[in-house]
Amino acid sequence: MMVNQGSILIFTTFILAGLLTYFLARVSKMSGRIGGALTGLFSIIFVYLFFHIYSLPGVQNLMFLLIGLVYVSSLFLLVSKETPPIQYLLFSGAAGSTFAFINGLDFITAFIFLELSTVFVFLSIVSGDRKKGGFLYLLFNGTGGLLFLYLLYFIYMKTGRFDYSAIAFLKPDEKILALTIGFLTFAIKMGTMPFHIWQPYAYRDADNGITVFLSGAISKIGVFGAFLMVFLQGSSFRISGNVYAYLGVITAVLAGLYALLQEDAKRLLAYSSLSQLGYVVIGLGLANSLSISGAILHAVSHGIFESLLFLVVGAVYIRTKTTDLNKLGGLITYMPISFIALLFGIIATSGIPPTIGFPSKWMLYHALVINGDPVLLSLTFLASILAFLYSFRLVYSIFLGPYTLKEKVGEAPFPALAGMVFFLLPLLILGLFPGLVLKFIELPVVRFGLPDFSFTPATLKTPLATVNFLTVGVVFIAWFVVAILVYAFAGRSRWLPVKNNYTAAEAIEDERILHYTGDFYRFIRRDMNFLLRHSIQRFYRRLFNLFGVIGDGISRIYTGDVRTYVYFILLFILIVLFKIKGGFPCLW
Amino acid sequence: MAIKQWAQGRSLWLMHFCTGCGAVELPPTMTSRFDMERFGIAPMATPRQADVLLVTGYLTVKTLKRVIRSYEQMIDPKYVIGFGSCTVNGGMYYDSYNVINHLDLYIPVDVYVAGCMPRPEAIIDAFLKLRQMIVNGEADGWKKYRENLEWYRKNQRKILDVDKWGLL
Amino acid sequence: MFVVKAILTAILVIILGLLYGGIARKVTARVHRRYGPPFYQNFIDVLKLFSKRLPTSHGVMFELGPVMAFGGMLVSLMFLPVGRGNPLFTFEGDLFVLLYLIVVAPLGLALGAGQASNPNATIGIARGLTLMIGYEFVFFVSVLPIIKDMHTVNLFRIAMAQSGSLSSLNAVRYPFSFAAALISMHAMLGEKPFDQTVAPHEIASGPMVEYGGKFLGLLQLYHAIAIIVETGLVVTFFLGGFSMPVFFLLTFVLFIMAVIVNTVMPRFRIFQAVQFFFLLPLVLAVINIIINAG
Repeated sequence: MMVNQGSILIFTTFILAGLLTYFLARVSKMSGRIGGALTGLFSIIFVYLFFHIYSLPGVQNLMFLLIGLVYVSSLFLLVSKETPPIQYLLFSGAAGSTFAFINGLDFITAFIFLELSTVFVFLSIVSGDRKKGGFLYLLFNGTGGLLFLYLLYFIYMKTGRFDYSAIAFLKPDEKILALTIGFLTFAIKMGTMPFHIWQPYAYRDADNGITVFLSGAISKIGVFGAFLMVFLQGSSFRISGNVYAYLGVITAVLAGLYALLQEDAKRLLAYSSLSQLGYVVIGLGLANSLSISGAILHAVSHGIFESLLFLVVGAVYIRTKTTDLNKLGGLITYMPISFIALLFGIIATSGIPPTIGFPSKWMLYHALVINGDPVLLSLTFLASILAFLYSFRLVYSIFLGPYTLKEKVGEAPFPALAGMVFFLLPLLILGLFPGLVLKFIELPVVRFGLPDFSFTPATLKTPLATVNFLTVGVVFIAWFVVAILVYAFAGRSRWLPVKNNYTAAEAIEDERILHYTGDFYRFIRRDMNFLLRHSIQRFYRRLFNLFGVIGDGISRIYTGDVRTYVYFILLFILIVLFKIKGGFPCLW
Repeated sequence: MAIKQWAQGRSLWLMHFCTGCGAVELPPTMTSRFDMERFGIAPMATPRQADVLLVTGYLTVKTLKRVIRSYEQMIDPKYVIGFGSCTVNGGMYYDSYNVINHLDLYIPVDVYVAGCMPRPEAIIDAFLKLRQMIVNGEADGWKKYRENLEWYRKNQRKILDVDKWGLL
Repeated sequence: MFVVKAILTAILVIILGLLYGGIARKVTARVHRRYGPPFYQNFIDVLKLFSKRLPTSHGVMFELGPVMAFGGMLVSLMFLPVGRGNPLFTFEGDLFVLLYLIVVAPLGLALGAGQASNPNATIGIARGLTLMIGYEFVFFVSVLPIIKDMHTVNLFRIAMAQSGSLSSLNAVRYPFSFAAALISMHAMLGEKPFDQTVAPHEIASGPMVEYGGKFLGLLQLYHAIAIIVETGLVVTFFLGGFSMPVFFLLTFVLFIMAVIVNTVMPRFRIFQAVQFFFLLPLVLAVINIIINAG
């Protein structure tokens, strides 16, 4: 019953950093910002030095790097705005417990830090203005924690051990049970349908900096845990694997559809995050070396691009105080760098080369083709078309179109810009050299054997085809240069104000803004209504109502009249006597 | 230069501003009887894409605003064809209280097609004349408009609030 | 050598694409019983568009949109195997690379049209993207049995596996899939009844509403390449394995077939079009998957 020492050390470091920042921020805002940045950077450097000494192989290390990246960037967003001091503390706690979870290699450590991260995030959300997301978050993730506790108990009862490798000692049918429970826990963390309800609300209600971390890093707890479950089960996973793959694809498609219809940038991104994590679940569910490598790579790319998108939306919020897509528009004039960041973010979300989103999806597709299930494959493709649609809606409604706000706004604050650049570099570099990431997961994935799959930094080779991503990128850039040359040699152009626009020769008043943005995909809402009408949310609401009815019935016991209580007591005594005597007691 | 003018003359994209009765002459011009696409003349949807503004028929003050706005939205080099007697001198509406008589005062017209109504042959003839003028470099109404903008604005301002409708 | 070949391919395809467009105008005219413009009319049009002075612009993304569309289509062209035995130029093209590169061009156009801040343009884009759910999905489902049977997604290998006899053509082996792919190609080309994106009489040519001059010229070039890439994709999958001239002939035949349908068709409403894709073509594609599995 030993908690991992390294995990405790990490967690303590982060808590101390958080406390320090908290007190500094109480002193003055500026000292809070500077102190937050410095202590945060210091703690992450400390953690890396620590793990350089005890360097860990494989996926763990990769997750460390990814979460560190997300951590630094969301820290940048936190310090670039008016963050309440308490958020620094809670954020540090959440980050520390996430790192500690990844570091720990036994169930006790995992459970403790899983719960701690849940608690910290919950506190962080409910200390904001809107609280609904926080309670939903606690409800779902608390349930997940309980499941994990049961798993811990189950495995301890069967094997008497707490470390992860204990699973290997289970009998095959026990293994499947343990796996199912574990996978469910982490499916809730990832927000796989039907456990996704909390995600849009929590992402919407959380502080923007926290949302970056929630989407980029906390969901990686789910990915890492689910990966561990699959990894520890090995071949016995394949029996139930396809069920998870189907869960994943349903998540990817339905969340994509929901994302199309959102009118709030953060909710849209929450659904897109869900949809992208659906791909990860597909990859883990197929459980072969190619698909799992693809899934981990996609988790990394999801961490990068989704955090980038949340970061930009957070920066837009700092400047405009809104994330409502119907109110925004035309920000490209005032926030060009944020626009470029968001543009690359959506290019990666849609999986277009030469960004990190492409190689991961490519690998998943190849795994799916080898798996040979046409339904799974075609629905996955449908999800990626949907990704293209909702990501265009995001960039259009925020940055393009006419400028809709009253006052002029400035470019995003400097720390937020630094965070964006921080993400843009790996987004592009790993898109050209996906092998750099795969190197981390080469060893653990070998145990899944099939199919034959190899890579160099820039090339991936599967039985189906070989692709050199560097070539794709170079060709891409070369032809863009050619296109730009053609454009540049064709002469100059004349810039016009927005009002000088084709309106069938009608003059539009200055105060009237022509912007097609609300209910952007109304065609889809009309067409897909039959699918969207029966949402899981309704099911949960009915469940909730059912509990309400039951509770209402029970509450009628308390009538407030003493006589009824006497009757109840008599009834109770009767039942007890009945139990003791084993029959109707003879009272006379 | 010569090849540019040659191309400009042979590809005349058209925005027809159909007012009054002239519009009815355009469908036969486009369709199988007369087929103006033979000469590379094609109808376009917006002023940005068009080269030729075809004003068919009389212009009231209300429609003149729109003509000016559309004309100023077009990209240089651009040409105007005044179609029917109404654009030349007001035609049968010459004494109406709100019909303008001379289109030439408000935007530069390169080619007039007289008649009430001109037949499709006459329209196509006007286009061929315009093509000839473009190739010879004589169709320079758009240059005149830029050079004498004050004069045109003065005329326009007499009858309408051009600061609201003009876009140049 | 690679570079020279690449540039030659691009120039050839642009010329052929403009030529196809010109001939299509001629064919349309003949269906209307008109004489039609000269077959080189599209070259004149492009020349004229590039010769216009100071085209109007609404901002950086507005200008880069057509550039991105043109460049994106050129990139996708590079990954399409043109003819047999690597006659001109092809990278080891892979279906997924091509499918994802093909959407760069519409994305560029969409971004550019987005900054035009004209509601017509955005409605056109929203329609085009909605339609994409229909045709991309159906196209993908229709090529599934081929990928599965040949056990490769390398386009060049797929094309080469069909050379030899006529019965080894995928169009013969998977007739229903071929039909579905043809319909989705029709929508990719944006011909009627699937021209909701452009719809000149309804939303004033949609995304192109604010484009003129050299921007429109770039879009014409983009469209010229798109014709060959999109028909070429179907040819590679279903009629592949021929030499380069035959490849171009086949793309031409497919394109003219689409144009002839276009000439006599009205336009669907957008949700009718999407529903149509999920009814007839999808069912056709699925039938072939079932036949194949059984």
